Amino acid sequence: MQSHHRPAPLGEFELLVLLSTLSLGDNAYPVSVARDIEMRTGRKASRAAVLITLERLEDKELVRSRYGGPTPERGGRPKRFFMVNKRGVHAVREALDRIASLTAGLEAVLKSR
Amino acid sequence: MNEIAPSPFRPLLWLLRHVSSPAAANAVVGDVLEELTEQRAGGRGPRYPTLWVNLQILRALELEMLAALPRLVRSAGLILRDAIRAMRAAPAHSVFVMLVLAAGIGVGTLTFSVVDAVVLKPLPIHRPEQLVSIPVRDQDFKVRITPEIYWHLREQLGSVEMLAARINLGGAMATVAGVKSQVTVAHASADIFEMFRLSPGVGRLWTADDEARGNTDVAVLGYRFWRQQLGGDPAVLGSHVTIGKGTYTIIGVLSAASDHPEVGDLTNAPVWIPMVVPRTSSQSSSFGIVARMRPGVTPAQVAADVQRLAGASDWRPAVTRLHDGYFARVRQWMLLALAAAGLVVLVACANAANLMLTRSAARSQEMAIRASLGASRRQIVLAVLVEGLLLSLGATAISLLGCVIGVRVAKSAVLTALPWMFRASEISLNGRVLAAATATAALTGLLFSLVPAWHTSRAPLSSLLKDSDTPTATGRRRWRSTFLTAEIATVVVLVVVSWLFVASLIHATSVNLGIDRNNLVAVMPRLAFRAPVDEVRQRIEKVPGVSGVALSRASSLPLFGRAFHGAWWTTTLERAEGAAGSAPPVAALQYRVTPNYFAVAGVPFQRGGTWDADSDAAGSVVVLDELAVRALFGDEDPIGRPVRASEPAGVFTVVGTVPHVYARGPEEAEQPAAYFNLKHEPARMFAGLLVRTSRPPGEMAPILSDVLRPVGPDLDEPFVFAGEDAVRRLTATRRFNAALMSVFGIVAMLLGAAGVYATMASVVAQQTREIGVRVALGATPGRIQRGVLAMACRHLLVGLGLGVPLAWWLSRGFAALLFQVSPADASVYIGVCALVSVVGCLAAWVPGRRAARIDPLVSLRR
Repeated sequence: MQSHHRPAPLGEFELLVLLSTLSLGDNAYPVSVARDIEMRTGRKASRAAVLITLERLEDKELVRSRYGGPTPERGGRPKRFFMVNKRGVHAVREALDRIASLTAGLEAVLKSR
Repeated sequence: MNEIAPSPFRPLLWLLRHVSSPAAANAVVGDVLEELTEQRAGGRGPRYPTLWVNLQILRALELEMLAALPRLVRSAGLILRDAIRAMRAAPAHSVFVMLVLAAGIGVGTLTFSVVDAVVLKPLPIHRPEQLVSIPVRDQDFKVRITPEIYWHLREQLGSVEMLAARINLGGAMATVAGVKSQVTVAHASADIFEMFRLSPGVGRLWTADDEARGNTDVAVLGYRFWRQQLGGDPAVLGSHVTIGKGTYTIIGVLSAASDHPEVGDLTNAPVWIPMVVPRTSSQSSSFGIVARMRPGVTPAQVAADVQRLAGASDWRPAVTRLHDGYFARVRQWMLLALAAAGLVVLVACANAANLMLTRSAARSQEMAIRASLGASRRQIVLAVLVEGLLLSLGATAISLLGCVIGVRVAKSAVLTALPWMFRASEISLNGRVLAAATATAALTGLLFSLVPAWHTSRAPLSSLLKDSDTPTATGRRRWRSTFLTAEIATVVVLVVVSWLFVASLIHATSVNLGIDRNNLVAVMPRLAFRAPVDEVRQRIEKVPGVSGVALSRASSLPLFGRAFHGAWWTTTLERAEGAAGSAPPVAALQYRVTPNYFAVAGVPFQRGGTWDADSDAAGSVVVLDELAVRALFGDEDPIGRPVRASEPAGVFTVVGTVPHVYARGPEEAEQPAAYFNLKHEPARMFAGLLVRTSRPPGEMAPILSDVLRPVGPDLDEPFVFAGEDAVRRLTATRRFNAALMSVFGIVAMLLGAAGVYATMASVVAQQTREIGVRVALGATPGRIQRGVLAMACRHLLVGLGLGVPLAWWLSRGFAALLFQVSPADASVYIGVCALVSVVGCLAAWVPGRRAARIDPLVSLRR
């Protein structure tokens, strides 16, 4: 049985995956998320790592998944779509707040570099 | 561009589906294929798409497994916790199951420890099954392989890789590097070292070249002798070994790797000296032959080849594997004992399974609640299986604690009863035994909890409301009956087996041996007396308590020869009258005795009598036993009739007939016997004396040993033996295996009784309400009790019905191990049926009494 206490803070890659999933909306599945992260951050993200992260986030009840219909270009196999739920959005907000609170006052330093 | 999508490797897909889920696995494959399409579109497609796809799936599988690991560990912990809780919730049940299993596993472990040490553990030499010994003489002691044939075999015998001459001479007095001791000397040709894979630790071994060049005055020492007697001093090289008149220079010592005292006669002879078989056409053969067969060749093939090459059409040599010499005569019954122990474990398993089923009935509500709260069937099955495994591990721990003492007891029992038993001193609770016990525990744990686990997981939610009428409860009852019946059938098999062995022992010990073994002593040294044999006789006759002394050639002393040491001499007898249609020649044991032999041995005459030692005719008379008389003369009176013998050669007149003497023990094949006169002053070697005493042999043997010490051989070993000891030795194996099988029978019987008791008690406990209602409606206590007994009897009847034919069928397989009792002996089966029925009814009587005393008011309130 899953507990409903506060989830553990997000790791960096988890945050990236959650943000990308949020921005992709209804079209977030491992391949698209990996592509999106790579495109927007320049960071190489493997599809397998994205999938396992999404599954971990699902265990933490931050995202949920559903299967789409069969897709001919994928050999007739369905896509597994992921959606960020309320707890997920809350966790993203908390993580961004933490970063914001840590970066407060560092604007000058960060810009000068 | 529409390229064909590569298909993933099926086993990988199967694994992935099981680690995640079929839908998720499908989606993963879709992702991989989409990525491949994308890469191809970008012109970056992999060179080997199929390999790439499978590697990607492998990677996904790896990540899924890593992610699932903590979850698996967590659920394993939960299952373990549940199992421990379940055990603690019913401590009496758990302890009972563990004790029942411990009894079974204990018996299995103990038996395995003995059988493994003696029979199963391979010999410590290279490919021992390929080593054979080839006899050089036939059963009449006639030389069949002369030195000339030996060399012919060496060159022509294709079925063996190599062949060597070898003979071990024990008890030789030797001076080795200045140390005088009595040792066994191995005379062997150089090939023996390669054949047994023996290498030098110090110096070198002699070679075939040495033998060819005549450098044969060399010796090699055995490792253990060198360490213990010579302090492991490498300086012994170059010093000398003196044996009799021969002197040999020590050129090497065998390596530590050759030290295997358990097969000491092969590898641990203290002194090894070259044996060179002459290439002459001598007719004497004072050597033995050992050979290493080529892979896949059988001793029978070697025997056929030897027979052909030796040109002996009438003699098929008894080629035997060397390792048979160590355990061949116990192998079959030891394996039978192991199988019987396996059956005892099965009885314990069936018993435990029944107890678990009873418990699962009591837990069906708990399981239904669990299932309703979301526990999967797999989780429930696993919980019960793990409980079973834990119980059997607990039982193994208990049985191993018992085995610590049990193995010592078993070892000392074997060493006492069967001191000659191969590797008996190696019986121990070692790694192999522990591994076997653990494997048994795991197997029994699974075996006895499989059905209860399956049953528990099938409990429908309706069992929350009531238990007795659900299909599960009916199924459980059916399984319980099945287990109980199987248990009774197995008990019947085991009791039949032990009964057959005990009956064999009774028959073997009640055979009239034809000789009065009470107050009979034999003086029979392995080597020559140091004084004339007549002087030895005079010394014995002077001892108070001695009433008669007879002389014999030692090798033909009945009972003693087989029990201690001695060979058999045979002769061929035929009627010398030339009567037409007379009987064919008879092979008989040949005795050479003084005329008072029959009186001293307590062998009565049936006809005629003994001869007069001083008469001239003494050398031309013979006494025959009843078998020889029947074979040669049928019902005719043989007294005064001439008989021709091959050894001693001549024609002899029959002067008396005596009953048959079981000279080699009660179980050996009966062979006719002929008694010839022994000349006045027999050779000191191979001389034996039979002594009739008026006091118990236990008192007389030490006195005789003391009196004969000055004239006995220079050997530190006993040479005075009591008749009773000889018989005890001859029947030792029979007594031991009867005792062992009895233990199995008794343990199985106790387990079976416990099974009947526990099942009936649980039936009564579960039907308390029903019984209460019946009592309230007027059933008498006697009727209730009879009902329980009738149920037990039904199980007993079916169990006997299955067990008796099974026991009969199985026992035909070991008929050769029985003595004077047929595997189909009706009396055995009637006895076993009666015994099992009585014990079963007694076991059911207690729960029956309890049922009869149920108070309807109390039971209906429950």
